[in-house]
Amino acid sequence: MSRLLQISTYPTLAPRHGGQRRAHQIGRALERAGHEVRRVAAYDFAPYHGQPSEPAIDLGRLPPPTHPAAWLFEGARALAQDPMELAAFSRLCEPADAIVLEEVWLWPVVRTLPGVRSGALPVIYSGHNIEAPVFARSMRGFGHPRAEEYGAEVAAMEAELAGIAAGASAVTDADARALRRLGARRVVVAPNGVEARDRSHLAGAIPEALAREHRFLLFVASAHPPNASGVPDLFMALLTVLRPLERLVVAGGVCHLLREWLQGGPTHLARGRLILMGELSDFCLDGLFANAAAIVLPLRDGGGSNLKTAEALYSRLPMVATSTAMRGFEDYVGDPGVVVTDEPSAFAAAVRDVLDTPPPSRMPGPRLDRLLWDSTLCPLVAMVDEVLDERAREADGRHRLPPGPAEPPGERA
Amino acid sequence: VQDGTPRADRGGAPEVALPAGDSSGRCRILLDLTTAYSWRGRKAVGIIRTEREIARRLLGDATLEVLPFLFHGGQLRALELSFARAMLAEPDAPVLEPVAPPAVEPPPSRRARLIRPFAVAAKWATRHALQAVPSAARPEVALSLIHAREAVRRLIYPPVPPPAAPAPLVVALALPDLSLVLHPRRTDVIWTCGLAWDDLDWAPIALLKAQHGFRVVCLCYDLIPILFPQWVPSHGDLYLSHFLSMVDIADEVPCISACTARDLHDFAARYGRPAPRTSVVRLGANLPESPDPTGLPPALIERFRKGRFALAVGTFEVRKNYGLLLDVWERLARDPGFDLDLVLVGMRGWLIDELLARFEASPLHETRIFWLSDAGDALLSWLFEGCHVALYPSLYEGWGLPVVEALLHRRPVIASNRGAVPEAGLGLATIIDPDDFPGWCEAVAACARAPRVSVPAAPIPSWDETTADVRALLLRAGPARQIA
Repeated sequence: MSRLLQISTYPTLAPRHGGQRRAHQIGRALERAGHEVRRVAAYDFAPYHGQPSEPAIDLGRLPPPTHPAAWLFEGARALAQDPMELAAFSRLCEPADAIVLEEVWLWPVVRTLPGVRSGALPVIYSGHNIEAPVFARSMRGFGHPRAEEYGAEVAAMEAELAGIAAGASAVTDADARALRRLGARRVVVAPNGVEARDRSHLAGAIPEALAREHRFLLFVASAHPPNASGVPDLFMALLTVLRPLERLVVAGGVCHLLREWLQGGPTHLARGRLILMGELSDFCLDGLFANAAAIVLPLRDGGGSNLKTAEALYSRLPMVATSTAMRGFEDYVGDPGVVVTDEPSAFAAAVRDVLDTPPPSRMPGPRLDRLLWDSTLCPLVAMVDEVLDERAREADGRHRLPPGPAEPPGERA
Repeated sequence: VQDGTPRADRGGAPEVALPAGDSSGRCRILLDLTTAYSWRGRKAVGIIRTEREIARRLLGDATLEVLPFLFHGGQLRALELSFARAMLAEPDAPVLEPVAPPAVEPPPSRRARLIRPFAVAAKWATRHALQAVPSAARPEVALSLIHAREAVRRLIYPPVPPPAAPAPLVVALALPDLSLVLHPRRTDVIWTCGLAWDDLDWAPIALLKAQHGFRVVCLCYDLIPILFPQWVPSHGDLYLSHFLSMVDIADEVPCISACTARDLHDFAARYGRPAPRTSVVRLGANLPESPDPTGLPPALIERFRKGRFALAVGTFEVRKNYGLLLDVWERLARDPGFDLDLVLVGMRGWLIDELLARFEASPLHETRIFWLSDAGDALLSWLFEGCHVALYPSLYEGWGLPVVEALLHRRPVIASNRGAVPEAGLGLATIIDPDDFPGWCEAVAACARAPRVSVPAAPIPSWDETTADVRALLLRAGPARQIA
């Protein structure tokens, strides 16, 4: 059994948002494969208050970020530059045979660990995204004065990590190609997946904000800024096609971003059409999935692949998505009930069509089962095993004595 | 077509899917766990045990579609399956608040608090001293000082041990997620068998049922609060309201005995209602735990191990008629040859101050008569195994579970002839009118003189069989009853 140290920028024990879920599932998949997984994290404790956590350092004690969207980058950088905090983080990192680093942000910290510096401890880069371009765009969108500089810095981090990592995983083929271009040696594609959840018994179980008579579209997304990139055009188009007893229900951290938009936006149109549920428990989400008329994925921007797309596909509900939202799941475009369109009026028309004439459900079976985490993470687990085997062989080779001269025949008793 | 066939010996209509009112057309069981929830962490009395035993089995039946719910704030709130299963798996476990393991942030030690003012002063002095260093050399000096500071810290503070691996997550028994309001469908059937008069608000159920036409099946234990209001604490018209609503709204009211079914029909007739459809569902009698006297004082274990005791099981309340047993023992104990002890097992009930005073004043109290008010299933099973005879002088019962439990252990039973008690005796118990004091004295004395005997094995239902009967009832085809 090998010891793996999984390092992430959020708690992963009781996951809520997509990054947490992916890291959580990776940890579990590696444990199921027989590895001992120790988890360590560094993040701002405040937004995760009350969530169970692995040993972690509170980035919230460090100087606040220049913009909320920059806290991952600036927080990790501040940690790397504070010797005391760095020492505390280092103390949390127990001896291991390899490190699995979730996302790039903590690389400036991880690279200072003695085992990593000496090259004795292989790092496996678990990429969720090619971060630099998305991060730069996001910073530019927020008018951050150092957007370009930050983007370049993140790009440099990604390149260095890709070059040093003993193995890397990407969530899409495109990300895998990008990692190879950055110099990554052993790259596998381990797409985002979904956990099988039984929801069939929850028909008619809906949050109080909805009435029994409502039919609703469901959009679930975290507060990751690209998740609100469909604002305003796709959302405006969506709201205009809804009839009196139809609603667009939005769940997850993206509601915070939509509230900002609504403050100066289409408040009248939203009233009676849009329900912002905020962050919900898994059980409450189950109720929404079990009763939704369709899923919408109105995303304009983002990297990696959208975990909620896997969820939507696996739910067998009709779905209307942009091509951006389908990144990594292109294979499913054209399946029953999967409509992909980017133009706002076509998007809205497709939604209307799905509500008026519900398409047949996608059939359960191996094709949809390929979306389960057990299946999607197989390549990553295999790659980790390969890295560990390779290291073991190298160590074995170093420790084995050079072969001596062959014994002359006949001298054996 | 639903899987499963009703047991032939019980009859019943075939199980078929109801007419489609939803996309699947499949009958879904909505499982009321309100009472089980409010009794978490407490030992089960009869009704609670019934709700738990049946619910646990329905939830474990993979062929059924079951959604547990709590009645809360006038609404049905869906309950997570995992929560419901955890709650029913360890119903007597102490209720735990969910605890999130804290992220690692050790509180400052006493030493750290003492040193802190000096550290702040040193930091202030160093910063000012740095200003005197030429700017070109300042970064190097600053870095050296940081390293020096770390070295000093390592000398002062012991290294922080790595934190322990996080504890496994505790099932949050105290806080169910009640965020989903349940709107029943036409093909649903609500199963409720808890303390409905306390926990169920029938008015919104009637409204929902009138709108959406689902079925309601409510188990009836007895009508004692209506028939003998003097034996229950006064709750005004609580019970009357409950039983009226039940006969008005429920589609089917299975009863735990033929006696209770008769009482229910009489009640409906008295109040000018058509009686709901009734049937008899026998409750399981198998105690879930193996016999074990742990918890009993060693002296009592030694004493009871000889088997020279009579056992009476049931809540310590007037209706159980334990006063009769006290009288019998005070009479029989005058005979030095009468060596049977009396062991009463049951939690403290209501309206018993006078009776309890009599017991405590008796010279037999805790010398020949023992009351165990907190016995668990394992001890109860041990007592049933060991007793010479079981006694049940109740003045009225909707069934008589302790009689059946005694017969399950093959112990002889002397029981009253009131209510459903003779039914529970299954033709094996000795039945005597509880007003017949000489008859009871004679029967107990005769039993004490006789050697230990075992009664023949009787066909006693298990909880599995009870659940199978309930399942068949719930899946029975038929339209929902219209509410007038």
